[in-house]
Amino acid sequence: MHRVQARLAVDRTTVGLSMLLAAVAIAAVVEAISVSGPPEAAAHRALVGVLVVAGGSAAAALTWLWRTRPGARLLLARRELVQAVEFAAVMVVDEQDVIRHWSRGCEELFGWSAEEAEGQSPRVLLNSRTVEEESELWRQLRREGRCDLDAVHRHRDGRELIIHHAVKLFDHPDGRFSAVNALTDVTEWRRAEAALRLSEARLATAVSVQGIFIYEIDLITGETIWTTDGAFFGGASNSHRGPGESFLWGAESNALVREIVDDAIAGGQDRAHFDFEFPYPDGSQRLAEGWARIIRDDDGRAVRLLGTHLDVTERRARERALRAGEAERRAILATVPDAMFVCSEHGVIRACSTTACQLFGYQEAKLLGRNLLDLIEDGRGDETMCCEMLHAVNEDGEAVWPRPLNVRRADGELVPTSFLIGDATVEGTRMYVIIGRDMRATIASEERFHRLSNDLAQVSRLGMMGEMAAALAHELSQPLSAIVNFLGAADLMLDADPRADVQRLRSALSSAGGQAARAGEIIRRLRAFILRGEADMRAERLASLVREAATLALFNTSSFGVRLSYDFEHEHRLVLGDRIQIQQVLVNLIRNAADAMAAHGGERRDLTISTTMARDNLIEIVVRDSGPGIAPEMLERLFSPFATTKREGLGFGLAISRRIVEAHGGQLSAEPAPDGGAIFRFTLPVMEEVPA
Amino acid sequence: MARHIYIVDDDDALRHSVEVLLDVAGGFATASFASGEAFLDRVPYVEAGCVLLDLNMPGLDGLEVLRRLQQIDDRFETILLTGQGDIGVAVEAMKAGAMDFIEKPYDNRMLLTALDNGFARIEDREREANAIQEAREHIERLTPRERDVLLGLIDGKANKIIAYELDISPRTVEIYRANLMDKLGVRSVAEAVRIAFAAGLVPVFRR
Repeated sequence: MHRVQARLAVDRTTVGLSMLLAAVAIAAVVEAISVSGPPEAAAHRALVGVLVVAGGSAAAALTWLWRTRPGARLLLARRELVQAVEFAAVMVVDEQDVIRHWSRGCEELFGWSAEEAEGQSPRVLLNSRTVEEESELWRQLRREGRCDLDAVHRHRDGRELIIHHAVKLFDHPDGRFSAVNALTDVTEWRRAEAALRLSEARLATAVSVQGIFIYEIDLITGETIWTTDGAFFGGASNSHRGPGESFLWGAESNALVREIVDDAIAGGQDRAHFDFEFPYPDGSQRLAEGWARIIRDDDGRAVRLLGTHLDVTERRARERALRAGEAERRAILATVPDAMFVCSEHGVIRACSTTACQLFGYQEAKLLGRNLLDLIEDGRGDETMCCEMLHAVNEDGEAVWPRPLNVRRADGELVPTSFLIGDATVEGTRMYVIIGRDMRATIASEERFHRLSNDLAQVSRLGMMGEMAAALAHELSQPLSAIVNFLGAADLMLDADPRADVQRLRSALSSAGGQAARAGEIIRRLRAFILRGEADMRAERLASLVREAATLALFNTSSFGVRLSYDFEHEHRLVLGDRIQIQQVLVNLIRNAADAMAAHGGERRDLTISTTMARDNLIEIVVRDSGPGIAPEMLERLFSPFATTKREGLGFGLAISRRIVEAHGGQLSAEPAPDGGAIFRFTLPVMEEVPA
Repeated sequence: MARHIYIVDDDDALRHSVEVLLDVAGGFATASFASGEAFLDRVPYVEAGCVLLDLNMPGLDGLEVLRRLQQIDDRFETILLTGQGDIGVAVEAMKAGAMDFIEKPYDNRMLLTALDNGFARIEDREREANAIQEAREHIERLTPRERDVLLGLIDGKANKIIAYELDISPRTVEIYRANLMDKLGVRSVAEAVRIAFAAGLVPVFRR
């Protein structure tokens, strides 16, 4: 529209001017016609002159007009161009950084009118920011005649605009310079560019972090259209790509992949999924998972393949490890020789071993989810058990709970089982690992072991006696030999001459006497050794003395299965005696009882140790067993040496025991128990007061 | 000739009692040692005799002393004394070369008998040694030709055969034979042969 109006305006001027010239020419022609009629006076001549001048002028004007028409046309075109250019954003700035021209394009761009802008500094007006300095720009401009730069300007309404300046140096004829700035608003473009860069960077990051490779292949030509970078292949993707060929099919190992994709294409599917291996530059084989999307044209022809590869080497390894771990766990549970349970904090069974199922006689499925405590019979109640469990676990976290407990099997049988409990915290949840061992076999073998070790103890005791006898034989044989020699010498002296040298005879006899005394001393020392020297009389607490002796006596013997019970008349009763000697007596009696019951082989093995006050400040200690009792003929010589019913016994025990008790001012006696078994009683003097 | 007895026992009283007994019995020269080591040290310097060796001693025990003694000297007869007699030890003692094995305490007559036996063996051995020595001295007096003729006689060859083998006349053989019988102080060939064997001129068994 603007262009059309401008043209019309130009035309009006030309037409007006032409019409004026035409009127003058017509007037001159009319005048010339009237003059050429009757000849008049000078006035007429003057008029004719004027008319001639006028006509000449008109002709001259017409000629000028004719001649200047092309120039006017050019001017017209120029004006049109300038007006058109005005719509472009062009700014002319002089050397003093003053806006000399502000095109209408600039007005639209920045919101400032030409009147407002011209004469101002663009920096001030537009609040501009540029990377380069103003002076530097001018220098570059002068040197190169042009430059390009991006500047951030502010619109009149305050918006920031990124403007591209294409600047040209305009060299005025009078030596001045102006900078002609062609401005382009690149705000949106730059923003889009930045957003694109950001999104590309994000994609690249995601791709590289995830080990993803994205590609697009032209299925018609078989060439790669586009891929992400080669980081996925360790930077080696290019080496996979032969000339005119897709990298994807280049690798030998990918033949299978191609087959899958081809099958998918042939089968009319639009997706393919495959796993494949590829060589990594470091020489390792890596594993990838691929998804591909087949893109078809309108005719259903597969034209492009868009796909991703995901490096799953580590993930697969983890999965494998996990599967292997699970398999191991199953294997452990299936083969562990003990019953093993993994329980929740409340004792609910989460997992159990095959042996556990066998021990309890339940199917695995029936055990899982049950509370382990329900399966244990202890006779003390679940709460006690719980407490004990917790207590056992809390001790330094160490698994210290080898407890004998009875387990009620599915078929109702009670199985003695030893339990060990450990705890673990798995991902914040407390778990108990409980290991139970069927003790039936162990108990049986323990019983056998005890029998054996008891035999062994007997044997070694015999061995010790043998050793002692050998030492004793040597010790005694020396003085006896000497005696024999001395007496033999005396005999010879008397044989040779009845009136022998009395001095020599006496000497030999006294030497023999000396050696006899030496033999006697050896025997005294031996007895002292057996009785352990002088009694060390002290006040001793009888109850603890008895308990200690029982522990000693029943340790590592055939005492397995002996039910021991105490019945003390007073827990704090003090007796006067030698602790070691009294314990010797007690150990002797208790072992005799245990041995007798074991030899008897009866089911009942009850051993009771009780104390009662007797007369005269004596306390009576009674050891009673449920063994075979004492045969009447044995009862008479029970306390004499060499009396024994044991095959390996020497028969000294009771004799020494009686000596010890008597040395303490007490008495040791034996009697058969009314219900079978034997009763041994001995008395000891008590201390006057009983402490509280 | 004094009969030397060496008493080896760690027990002072026992040593003393044995000395007294042997002194009274008479005819013995006793020497006492408190340990096997002390006795073995003196062995090269003492006369042949009987050793009364206690089996059970600190340091070297009786068996070990006996074994060492057997290695360094064969002039002694050893009687082992022990306070603990068992067959195993007795067998060991006999293997080691003990003449007798007496369990303590013992009858002193048994000890004296054992000592008598010991000295009888020592004396036999000495007599035999003397006889051998004498035989050697006799053989050494023979000339080489006389010795050749003796060897021929030992082989039971006739004079003619001996003469033929030695390339001399039978008459000369007869002369040599008379000479050697004279030098050996024997009257029969059998006696001459016995001396030759005793002196070790020929081995008892031909190989």
